[in-house]
Amino acid sequence: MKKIAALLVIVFALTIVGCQPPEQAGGVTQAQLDSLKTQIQSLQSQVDNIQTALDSLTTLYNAHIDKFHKRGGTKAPAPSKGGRTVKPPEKG
Amino acid sequence: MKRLLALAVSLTALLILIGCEGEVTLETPSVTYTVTDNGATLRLSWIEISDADGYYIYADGVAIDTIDDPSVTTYDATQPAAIYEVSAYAGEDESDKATVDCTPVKTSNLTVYGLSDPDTTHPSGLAFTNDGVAYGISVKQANYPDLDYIFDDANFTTMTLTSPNSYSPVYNDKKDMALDAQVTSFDTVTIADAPGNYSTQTTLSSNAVYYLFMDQDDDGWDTDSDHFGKMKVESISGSTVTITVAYQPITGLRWLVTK
Repeated sequence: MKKIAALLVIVFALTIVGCQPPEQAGGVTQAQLDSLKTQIQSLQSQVDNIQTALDSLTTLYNAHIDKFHKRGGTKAPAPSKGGRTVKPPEKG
Repeated sequence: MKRLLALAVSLTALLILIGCEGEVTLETPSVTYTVTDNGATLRLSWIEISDADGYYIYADGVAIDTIDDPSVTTYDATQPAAIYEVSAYAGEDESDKATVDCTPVKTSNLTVYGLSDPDTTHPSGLAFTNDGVAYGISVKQANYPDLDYIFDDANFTTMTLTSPNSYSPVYNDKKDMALDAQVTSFDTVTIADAPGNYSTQTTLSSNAVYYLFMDQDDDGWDTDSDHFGKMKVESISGSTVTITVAYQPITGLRWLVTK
């Protein structure tokens, strides 16, 4: 009877000890985790800023290409099968 | 004995009642459609089906929505697809599916030539049959009314897709425009951009895909006669241009799902 009581006490003690929340996870403290979280949030913000700047740069680049390199403008009307002159482009 | 007889009569009556219960036959919805939202939405409509509990909506064979109120008989389809289907259901029973075919008509590897090509038999124009099949057409007076696009490398330094009304005098009054889709895969384009940035003169590059907006009556987007399409320039070699085209036969609809 005594043995059983002793065993029950041991089990109870182990349960209490085992249920205690860990103070550290893998050697990292909560303060360190909070610091890491702040750094990641800061990096996320910086990436967003870079993305915005990149979008703006892409828009400027495309406008430049369209204006100076892509269209090439019209050249003097040449004899062709059409035999017509070209009007300015229209959007729609 | 009497109890046995009563039981037999009751059982027989029950069997007759069960056996005589009519099987529900659901009519197939008769679906019509209108194009809305500048060509982005296909509004499907049908008449309420009696005995139905609701309706199933399918896009390219996949059930995408369920309408569980039989009195609701319209559905705004916004997911581009080649085939939309509608069926009625009652419990486990389902009617046949009504089909709305939105498949663009595809013409592959069509060869056209820039206006600078001296061979007058080489077509520099692009036109579509009533069924939406693209074909090369010579830019000559008899064909002016049929012209939809012109491949012009005579009046431009690089191959340019132009509208028939972009010349003086005009070839015809159609305002057929294009817009670079900024992709290289033809099938990637499932919907053309909304009108606004299309141009009557679009510089073409090899291995590029372009949206086409044929504003036939030059009055902005409508469902009277406007059509959308997409065109991939497979190659440009000198004045020779090889293209693949898809044409949406439903007026005003911008969906361009090809496989």
